[in-house]
Amino acid sequence: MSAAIGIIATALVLGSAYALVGLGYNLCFVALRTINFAQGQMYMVAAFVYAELFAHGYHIVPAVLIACAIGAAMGLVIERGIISPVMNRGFTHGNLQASVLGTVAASIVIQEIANRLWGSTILPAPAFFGSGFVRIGTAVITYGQMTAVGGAIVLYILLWLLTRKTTVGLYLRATAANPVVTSLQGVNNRLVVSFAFSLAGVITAMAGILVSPLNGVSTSTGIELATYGMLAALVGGLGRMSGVIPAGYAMGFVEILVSYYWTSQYPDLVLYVVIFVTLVGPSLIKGVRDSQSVKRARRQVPNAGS
Amino acid sequence: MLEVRDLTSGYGAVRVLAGVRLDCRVGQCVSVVGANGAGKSTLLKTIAGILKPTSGTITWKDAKIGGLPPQKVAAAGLSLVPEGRGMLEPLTVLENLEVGGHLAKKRSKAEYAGNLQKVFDLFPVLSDRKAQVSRSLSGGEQQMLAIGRALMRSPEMLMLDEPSLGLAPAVADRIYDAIRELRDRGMGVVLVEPSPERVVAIASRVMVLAQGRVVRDMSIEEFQQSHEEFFSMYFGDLPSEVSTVTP
Amino acid sequence: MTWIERWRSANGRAPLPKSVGRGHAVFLLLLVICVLIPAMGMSSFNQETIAWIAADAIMLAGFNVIFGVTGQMVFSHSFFFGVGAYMTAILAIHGWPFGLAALVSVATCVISSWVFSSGLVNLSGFYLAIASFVLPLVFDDLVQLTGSVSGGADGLGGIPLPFNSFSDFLLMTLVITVCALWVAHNIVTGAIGRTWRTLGINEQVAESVGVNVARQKLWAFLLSSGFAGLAGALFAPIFGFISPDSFDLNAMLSILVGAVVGGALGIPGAVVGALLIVEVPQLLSGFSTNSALIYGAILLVALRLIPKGVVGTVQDLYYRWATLPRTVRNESRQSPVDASAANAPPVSLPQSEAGEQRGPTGPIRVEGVTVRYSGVAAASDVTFDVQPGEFVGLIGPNGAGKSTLFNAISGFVRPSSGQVWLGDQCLTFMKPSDRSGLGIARTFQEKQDFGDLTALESVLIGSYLTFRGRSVFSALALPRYTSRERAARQEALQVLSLVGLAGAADRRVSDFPYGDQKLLQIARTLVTSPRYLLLDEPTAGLNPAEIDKAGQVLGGLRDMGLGMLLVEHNVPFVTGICSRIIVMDHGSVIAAGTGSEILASPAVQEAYLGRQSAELNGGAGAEAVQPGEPPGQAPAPKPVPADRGRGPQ
Repeated sequence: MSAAIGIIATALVLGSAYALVGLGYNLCFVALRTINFAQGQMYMVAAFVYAELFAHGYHIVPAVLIACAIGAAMGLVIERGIISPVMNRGFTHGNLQASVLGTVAASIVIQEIANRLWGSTILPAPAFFGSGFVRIGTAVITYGQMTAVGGAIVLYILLWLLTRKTTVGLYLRATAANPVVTSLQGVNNRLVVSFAFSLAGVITAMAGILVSPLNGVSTSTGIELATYGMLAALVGGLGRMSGVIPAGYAMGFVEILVSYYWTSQYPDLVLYVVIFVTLVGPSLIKGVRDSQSVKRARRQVPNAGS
Repeated sequence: MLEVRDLTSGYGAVRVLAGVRLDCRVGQCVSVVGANGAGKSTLLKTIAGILKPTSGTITWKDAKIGGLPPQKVAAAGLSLVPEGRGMLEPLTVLENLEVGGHLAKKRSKAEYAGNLQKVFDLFPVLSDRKAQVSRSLSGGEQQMLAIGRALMRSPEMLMLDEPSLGLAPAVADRIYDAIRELRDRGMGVVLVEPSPERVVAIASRVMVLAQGRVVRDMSIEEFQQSHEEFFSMYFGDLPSEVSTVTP
Repeated sequence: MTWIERWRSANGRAPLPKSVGRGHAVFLLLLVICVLIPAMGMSSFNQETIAWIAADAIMLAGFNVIFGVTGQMVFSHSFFFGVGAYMTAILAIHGWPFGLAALVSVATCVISSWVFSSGLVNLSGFYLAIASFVLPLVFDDLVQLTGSVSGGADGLGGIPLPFNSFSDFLLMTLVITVCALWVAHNIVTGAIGRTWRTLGINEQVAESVGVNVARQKLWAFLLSSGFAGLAGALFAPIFGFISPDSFDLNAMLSILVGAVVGGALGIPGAVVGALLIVEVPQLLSGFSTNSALIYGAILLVALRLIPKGVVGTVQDLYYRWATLPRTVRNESRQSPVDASAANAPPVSLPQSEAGEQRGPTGPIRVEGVTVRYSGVAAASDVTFDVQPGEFVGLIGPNGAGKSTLFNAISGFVRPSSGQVWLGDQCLTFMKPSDRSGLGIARTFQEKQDFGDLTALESVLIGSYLTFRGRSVFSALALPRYTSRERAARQEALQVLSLVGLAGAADRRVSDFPYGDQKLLQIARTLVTSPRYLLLDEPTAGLNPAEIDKAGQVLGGLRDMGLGMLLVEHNVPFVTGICSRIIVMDHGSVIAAGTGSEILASPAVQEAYLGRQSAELNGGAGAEAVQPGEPPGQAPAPKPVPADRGRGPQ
């Protein structure tokens, strides 16, 4: 029982991280129909900034604000410098490839600079409510875990409110639906897109701030989260905010369950296999269904031949 | 006052407009007619800023707007109701109007609220369906929404691209009543409309576009006299000499 | 006599195409150089470097095939590189002869990529990229899982060299490399490469000329994985030691950098890229610790400045220099040749060398076709036919359903009900690529991005089906292929003469004015030796001179026994060319007949000009609607005079 609670708590924390990063990817996709591969590195840098500021004596609140600002700035720079110049030339095959490669390159550059700045140190990050914990039977749930999951939920709600209830969110949805018509209404699309990318940066930074207190910040967290977050966005369905969150948590659970009950040596492997199947499965099923329906229809037509 | 001179534009390598001249004053309704492919939509899109002109000038209220992005053209008071209505599909009626009123809101809340009420007065059915997702509206309602949306920012001139496309005649009548009312209240209107009878019922000048050039610029009375010519323009030989209108 | 011979006898020889496969001499030279290299007595370090470059060149060649040529974002390449290396190493350590070990490794790569492809084939864009990316991510774990055999994270050492001296190994590697690159070059520059490039540009165009898109993507993927495996097999013995680090994300990154910077469209780019990714680390001291950073920076810069890579940019510059002035000038264009010239024997369209007639003959019949999109009928219960040799026009106002019907006949849309027949063959359930094989060819209205292909190549795309089974021989440039290629080029040039563009056959499509680009599309369809041409708005966007030329070209096809269905907005053009016209409005056929018949039809006039326009047109104008009055108050309609059927003479 206590083991189960521990598992659930860890999975929820992991899932929150994946879901938040996945939301960041989704926002970018909604804005420009492309993926910002550097999201994971943005997570890592923002988390490091947060931890460093705290280590240098800053109070939590300004540290959070500054880290979020850094996240926003990174998102903005990548969008302005790499993605928009390419995507504005038209939504072609080659341009998509170029923007993908460009953000991949950016992610590598950022990762390497981070490696140089921080090496393999693992910085502790401050928890919001100290290091207390709650006991349930023999299981322990730390304040840090609760903050992480609770904070994530707060962020989902805030994001939902932002996109549904505010003017800016409205313009974002309008731009996603039809950028040309939206610009005809007098809305400056480029500003909206830049806003979306900065917002994605803030969400990613917040994910780092919420989750890193549990294990500290290290330079390797960036790569893992980049991949898992992107997978959550893909599995949940690109462009569908509502799909990302459950997908993120599902991934968290699968990862923990596998490492607990089977082997903790290759959690990646199993997770990736699961992901692969999830990505590939629906299209395979659809393909089979399509050919079945064609066969059925064909049988009803006399002389249709083979 | 909208003045277009020697406008050329197109899509990349494809040149569609080959030197267009057009004038429209506030309170006036000018109709652009011509066979499909002549460049009518391209003309409106170029004026509205969606396409960049390759040469020529577009002057609106004595300011050059050629080459400006669409949001700046809209801010100057010139609004396009695009072909196909351009619904922001997942958004509701009210949300569509809100996006349309972006510029009005920036200027003053009162203007925004006032415009919203005016749109509901003009098209009461939109008020009934405020919260309905725009994708599920009928064709006529979508057209009303598209026009209402453009009106939200108090434009001085409206450009309409085939507003009656795909609509039943009675519904199109209703739309044109609204357009006429707007014109009577002082709005300038540039109208692309394939049906000559509707053109005759609302416009005071007609520009005939063929192969990217204005081949005729006539008053509505002259247009009425030239039914045969118009028919032959659609179905018969095009004028062998395609010349620009002399100023 | 074949079509070519008859045409030639009537019109004289067309310009001979350049000989097929000019690159062979280069490879021969390369082979000679490579044979001499090991004998030059270099240091072992240099020899190892050269072997490494060779292996990487093979790997990049494979990657270019799937990524650059076919345009698929598949990121699994380093996985197969690793599989090839590890499998060869393990087998060699266990005593297998190197050749056999390498063969088994390559086979493993090909088979495993075939297994994965069944999952990947329906994915596109990001989903494909991520799903394929999963493979390099799990490679590490896979090695660790099989640690007992593969040495796990510590790597695998003691890989035996196949020969006693490294020079001999180097010789073998270089010879294999040159041969593999030669094969890849033949494939990429031949008919197969042409098909794959079309896939990367526009899959629908490929389908319309008979390409089975999924199968071709599969072949490209198998080839690229096989090359990756071969590269791995050659890589393993170089240092006698391999570890998972050589095949991790950094490896995939260096592949990307090599492809982008070298040039992703062909084999020369692969060689340049290989030089880059092997030499740069060695030239820049302190590279190993900064490798990723430097690669990332290089990639960013290259994407901005030389998106086509070094080789691609050089090719562009050379092309620009060799073809000043920039656009195809009038002098190099000829007037379209009238294939039905009075003193020429009657000609028919290109047939395959065996001269067989394919499949059923007979009219195209559309029977009760209805197409629904989410409940709305874009076309409803449409029935008409196109007889062999007949030119039929399909017109109607915006939104009438013409394009929907067009797509239903060509196979890109499946009707919700109703059937499409060609003679007694039911087409309704056939893919577009199969319909192409039966003689149905179509053009596309949207602008195609064929910019870098030459006019000749863009037309040759249409000859895909005539290669039936021979294109695989292009790999070794065997006569079975080269003879067909030569014939196909000759046919393509003949067709280019038909549209008046033969003199500019080597110019890139982007240099042609828009009207000529549309003629190139028509030329492409003619090469498929069609029975029926489906043309989608051929005059859209053309100026009057270009429209005239298009009309001339199409008119010249009239006596070739070709049937044509023309969707158009330009009514005078259609009435001038077509013997029968079908008018649609709101999804249904409202009139059918000759030009004058449909123009006289009140239904047609109403559809185009609105209600009461027929009456207005008939009246002298006295009863015209007063300006400013709503139409509802117009006077009662007068009957249309019987002779009111004005149209083109």
